[in-house]
Amino acid sequence: MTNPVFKTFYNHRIFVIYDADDYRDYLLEIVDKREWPPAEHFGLTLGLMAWGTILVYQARMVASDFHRRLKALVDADGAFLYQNPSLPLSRAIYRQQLAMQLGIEVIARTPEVKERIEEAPIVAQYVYDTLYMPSFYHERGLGETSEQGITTPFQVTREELREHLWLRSGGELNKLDKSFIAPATLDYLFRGVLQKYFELLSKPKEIQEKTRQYASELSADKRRLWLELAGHVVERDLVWTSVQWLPRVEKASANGSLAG
Amino acid sequence: MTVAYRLRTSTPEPLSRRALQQLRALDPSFPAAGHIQSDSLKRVVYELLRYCRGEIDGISVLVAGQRGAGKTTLAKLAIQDVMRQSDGLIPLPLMLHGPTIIDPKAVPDTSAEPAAPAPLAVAAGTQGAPVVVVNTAAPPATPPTGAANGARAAADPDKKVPEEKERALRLIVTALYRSLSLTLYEAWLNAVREAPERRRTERELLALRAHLDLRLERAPDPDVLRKIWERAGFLHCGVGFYLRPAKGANGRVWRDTDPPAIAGVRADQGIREIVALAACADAYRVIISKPQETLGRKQQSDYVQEMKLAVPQGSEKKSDDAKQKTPAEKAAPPVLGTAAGALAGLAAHTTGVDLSTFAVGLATGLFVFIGSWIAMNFGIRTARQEMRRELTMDIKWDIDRLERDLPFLLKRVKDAGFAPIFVLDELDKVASAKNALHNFLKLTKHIVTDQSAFMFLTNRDYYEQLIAEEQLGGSTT
Repeated sequence: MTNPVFKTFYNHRIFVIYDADDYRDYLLEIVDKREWPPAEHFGLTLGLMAWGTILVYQARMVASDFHRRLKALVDADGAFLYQNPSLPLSRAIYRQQLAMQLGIEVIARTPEVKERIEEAPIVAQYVYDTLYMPSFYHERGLGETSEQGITTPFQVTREELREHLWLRSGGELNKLDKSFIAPATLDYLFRGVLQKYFELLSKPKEIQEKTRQYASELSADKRRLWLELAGHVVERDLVWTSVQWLPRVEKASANGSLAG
Repeated sequence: MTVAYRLRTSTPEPLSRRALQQLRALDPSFPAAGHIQSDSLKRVVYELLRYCRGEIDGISVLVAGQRGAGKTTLAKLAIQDVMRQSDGLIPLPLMLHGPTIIDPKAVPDTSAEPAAPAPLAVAAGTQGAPVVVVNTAAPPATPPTGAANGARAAADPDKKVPEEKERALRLIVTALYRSLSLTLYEAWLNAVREAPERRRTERELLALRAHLDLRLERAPDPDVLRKIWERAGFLHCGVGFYLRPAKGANGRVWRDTDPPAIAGVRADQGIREIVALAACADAYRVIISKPQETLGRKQQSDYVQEMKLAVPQGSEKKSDDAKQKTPAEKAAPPVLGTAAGALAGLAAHTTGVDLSTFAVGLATGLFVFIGSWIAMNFGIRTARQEMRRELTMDIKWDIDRLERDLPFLLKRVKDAGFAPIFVLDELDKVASAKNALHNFLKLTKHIVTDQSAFMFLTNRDYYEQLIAEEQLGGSTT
């Protein structure tokens, strides 16, 4: 039986997780816009939105990391180190991060994922942890490089996803408790979230299209900003993926590449 | 180069000294933005507002999330928003360090030999300069743990409060007293400047406030508090609601200082503040010292009536405190009787009655004299009734009392216009949050959920375990 103390004790359970829009709105709120020339207002807002999106990707949706990275982006007087609003939309690394973050948001906005999150808020954390998993591979390069200098593509399996989620949850390395996540949930995250994300990253045009679809649901002023932002998503493949059927476990393989 | 992107003047952290100062100033332009907003925040604010309006007596909220997700900021921001919006009781935030309150490992084991008192640190000055003596602070009284608690329980069979609960009660009561003291002290500042009922100049009232601050360190009696409130002129109007945020409209700025109906009326707001503060101070004394108090009450009723024949009184010392009669006093009644008889005989003689009638009158007078004299010297009549009732109470200032009194303390704090909101932070630093919280909740559920607001800030793994147990039937708990 479920322990009645826990069941009845908490009148409310809040799982703290902000979505990407919360962070962007926050950034737009804390930047002083009083001196902005009206003619440049749109471009400056767009640049700020891009910075917000990039920072969310870099922080992997963790508030303290977002603040840390934001502080690294400004000087002692609070002025941004890069004042050119087109920089985050033009530099290759930023454009790639922008695309990967918008891809994450495309997956998180799908009705199926939204329904699951509404049902159990912790699912949002699992989904985001899963979606940010490739970012760790990207940081590590093109693949696993052996001492002989041979690079083999990264392979992502359910077990690796489970271990990744375990570590993100605060679990200790090599002390994995397999029961911490239900097998059905893990399977859903592997097939329904991670695999779809890889597919999306291999066809960035879809990220553009889906972001434009989302923009059409917004108010006129926001729509224009979002359409412009979608236009800056890189069009080359961000990953090459292949799914292999292994003898014992189903295994998806992802070859992360920054170089393009 | 023109600077387009610059952060606005930094917004203070929620509930920081600066944020509270801005919130309580007579200036309605408190910046509401500057923090990440979310639906979770709105939900917590909504529930806490209901608590402050008295629509629910207690509430317990679990706030979970990834490390660094902003749980503490969310909790503080929620309380700050409620402070800004509440038209009911004023939130009284009490930030508690979770590991200390629920984790036995966070408390040093006192079962070992007590450490030698820290020596005075002495720094000798050079060239005959004065010697600086730094008296290191006494170590804080820590609640006993494990073995020490067991040993004490064996020594004191009346001991009922388990170790976990005792530790929690000590910290809760300490936080309650400290926070209420500090809040009322802060409220004084606004009242000194704004209250129409103030009796003295601002400088005198500020001096009185400083005096209050010092007295609060020593958990004062209600009499002391009453004198201070009375001298300032706040005995009736109180000071608490001078902490409400200011309002502004049409160029006018004002502060609504009338207590809400859920707290009480303005006429005794000050008295209720004193009652709350004194009650918390009483409980706080149990923690900072080992007070002893004896109350005595004596009722006595005597009725003495005595009649007896005894030896003449003049020959012995009387033990009574009654004053001895002088011979003249003793002789007065018989002499008066004799004189009356003689006068009656004389009157009869002058009106023409014979001498024998006069002699009878005189004899009657003499008879009365002798009878009266015997009665005065030999006769005592005594009747005694006595009723005595004596009641002595040794007040038990122990931790059991804290447990019994805590609900009353919380009620009195609410009566004074404040809604305590306890925040147990950093529970993710507890070695085994699940078991530690489980023990804590088992022992304190009646206090926590029924009487006050508690927010538990935990890591996501605790939340995940709760969900998993519910899905699997909770067999692992």
